[in-house]
Amino acid sequence: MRRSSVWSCCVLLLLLATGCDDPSAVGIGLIGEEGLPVTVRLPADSVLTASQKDRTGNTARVLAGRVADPLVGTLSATGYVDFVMSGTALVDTTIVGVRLEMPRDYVYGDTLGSVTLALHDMTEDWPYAGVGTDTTLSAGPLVRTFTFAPTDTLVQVDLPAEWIAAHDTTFRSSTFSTSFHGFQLAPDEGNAVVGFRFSEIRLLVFTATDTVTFTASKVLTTVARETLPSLPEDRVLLQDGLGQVVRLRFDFSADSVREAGLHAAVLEVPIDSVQLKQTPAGFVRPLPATVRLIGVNAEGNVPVTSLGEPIVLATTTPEGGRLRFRLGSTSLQTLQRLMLGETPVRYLQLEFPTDDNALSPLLLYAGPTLRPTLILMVTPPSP
Amino acid sequence: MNMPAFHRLIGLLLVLGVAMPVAAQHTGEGSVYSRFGLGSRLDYASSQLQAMGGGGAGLFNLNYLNLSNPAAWSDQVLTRASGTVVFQRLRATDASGNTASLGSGALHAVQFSFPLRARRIGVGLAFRPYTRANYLVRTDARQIIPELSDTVQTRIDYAGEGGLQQLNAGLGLYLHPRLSVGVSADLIFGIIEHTQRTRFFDPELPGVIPSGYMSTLFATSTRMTGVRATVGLLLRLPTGTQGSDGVAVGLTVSTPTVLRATRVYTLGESLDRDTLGTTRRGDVHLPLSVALGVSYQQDNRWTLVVDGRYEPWSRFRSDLDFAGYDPNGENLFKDRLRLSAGLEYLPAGTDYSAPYFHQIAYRLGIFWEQAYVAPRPDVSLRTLALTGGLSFPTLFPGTRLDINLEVGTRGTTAHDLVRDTYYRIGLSVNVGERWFLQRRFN
Repeated sequence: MRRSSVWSCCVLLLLLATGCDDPSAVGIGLIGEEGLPVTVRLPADSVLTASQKDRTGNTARVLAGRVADPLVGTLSATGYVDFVMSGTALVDTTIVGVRLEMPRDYVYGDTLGSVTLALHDMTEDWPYAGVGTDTTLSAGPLVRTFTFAPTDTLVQVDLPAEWIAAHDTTFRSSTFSTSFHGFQLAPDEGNAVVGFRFSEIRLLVFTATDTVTFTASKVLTTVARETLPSLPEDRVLLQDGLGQVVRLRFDFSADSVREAGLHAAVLEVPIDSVQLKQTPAGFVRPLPATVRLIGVNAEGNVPVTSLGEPIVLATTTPEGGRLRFRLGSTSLQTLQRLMLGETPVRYLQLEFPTDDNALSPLLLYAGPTLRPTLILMVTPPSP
Repeated sequence: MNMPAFHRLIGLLLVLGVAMPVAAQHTGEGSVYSRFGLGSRLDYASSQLQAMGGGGAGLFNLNYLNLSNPAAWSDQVLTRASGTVVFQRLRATDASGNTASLGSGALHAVQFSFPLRARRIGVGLAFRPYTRANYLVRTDARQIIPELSDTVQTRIDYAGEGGLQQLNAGLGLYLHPRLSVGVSADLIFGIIEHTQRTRFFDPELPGVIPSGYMSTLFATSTRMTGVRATVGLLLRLPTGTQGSDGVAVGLTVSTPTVLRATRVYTLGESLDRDTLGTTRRGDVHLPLSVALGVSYQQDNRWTLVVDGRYEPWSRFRSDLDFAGYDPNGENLFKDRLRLSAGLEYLPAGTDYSAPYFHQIAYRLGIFWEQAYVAPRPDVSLRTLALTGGLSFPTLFPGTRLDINLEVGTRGTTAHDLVRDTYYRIGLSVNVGERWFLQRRFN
């Protein structure tokens, strides 16, 4: 055998010697660690309410009406809607009628009575992007009022002949988009707020030979609280549409979690569903479809990732008398840094997504025995 | 030897030293006992002595730099560079018969030496391990977590990495035909890191990480640095007619020293670690080390070594705690004792014209060691190992390639301990050539 072959065999032998590892628990008795992760419940140190701008411009629906909720007080919502021509066809013959069609997809309040809204012209262009719900916009003259049952799935409003005549040239103009500024839907009578689907609101112009459709180009809802809520003790109200949020602070210096390694986390927020279900006959108080959890800094700003997402973000649906947020990977990493005091995030904030415009309330427990609680799966630090 | 050949050998050394450890998944000792104290104590004198039980405090040898005794460095003719890589398979067994297997490979030691004056004054430099912490214990548990409405497979890896290295630099001086002395400064430094990594898997889909779970890695890193001195004596007692025949007795003493230690606790992966708490600093007092060895050489063919080494680790003190040692409580450290013996047979002796296989050196050895830490206070941790090796000559005079094998067992399965059975293969390149020759002009 050549000498080089001998050495090749030696090297091969050495490589085989290192082989594959097959580690096991042999020797764990010598490690002397109780290493299995443990589950720790960490109640919120403080539950605070705060205000922030709630934006409703071009959200999925526009709201209008007034509701006097025995639990959360009286709220009024005013909707604004503008239109554009949906196609290139112009109105070229005599207009015989104009109808506003609004499919309803939300109701909050008394469903046994009727709702009357006042339809006003908007005489000037109005903003919608970045506009808060507490904004006041001036409206033009009353076009008409209309009444409907809040359970109606489609609300149709025929506009008066004098209004049609006054706007005849506008509808025939190719500059309709800039010369017509839409309507205001103001609460008039009734005890309900209804929501209309933005994407399906239409203005139909009937001529002798044709029907020309104008689709909604922008919507906005402004909301005003007219009376204060009367809440039971140790409850905090979280209500959509008012720009109100709930901020939770946790004491991560507690011995049970201080400098612990975080594996998984769930935020449980108990809801007083008993109170929320207590309503007068025929009164509907819908729960919000989605609640969002984000991390905010001391000033209430939202730190974001390089992709522009909040560094803590989770959503959930009220279910089983609680909100239950399961944190994902990025949020867990941020929470771990929050536990170590190494992130600008100071609060976990409960709020409503801006794309789903509603006035639905949630009543959160915030008492000493029942309050928002983080359930953390952690490994305590080594000595 | 021409320089290209020398470079080729150094290149081979680098390949073995760098590439092979990459292939291995872990480096180092592999024993869970290395979790204790400063890690498993390692001795390395030379590739020759590695195959002869690991002692050699009383051995002169022109072909190797004997790191057991700096006095032996006086006897040098060639400039030498050598490197050793070691590969190991370890099988740990507990009382229930459960086993774990670990493989490792690492550059073990590098040496460089040259005579200032042939066979009178020699310089030695070496980089070699002092301790090594390297283990991996893995637990798997199915965890039902009602609070999270989940069931997950939780895997925890307890691992150790790193160790203390020593950088030796010294002189050996020939005082008398029968007596040499040597002294070296030993810089002891390194980082020992113990980690606990927790991961989660889907219990029904092995290897799949469930969403909403995050792994963690806790690490305790201790950095230590200190300097000690080693003094050696080597007494030669000729017994035969040939100058090389005789008995030699060697004694070395390494002074106690204080290592400055800094410890940090971290949470997170390598580049994204968060320091937990405050950095701790303190002194770690290493005990002295005394070695006594006797060698016998005959006819340039037979070499016999017998050695003992003693280190009073029971006097170990530290401001920082280590597994098995608490400054304010438990102290499981014991005096370390190591006994070894070895034999080398070189059929050709100094006959360089002998057939190739007569120029191969055949080595055997044995050692017994009582470790400096006893995880169970009433049970000493002992290692018994057999060693052996072959040393192949090369085309280049003064250069040899060595392959060594060590098979041993450590510990017991009684008393909730584990028994390690291991084999370790060492591969060394030992290059020697004349340097620093004065150019002569006629």
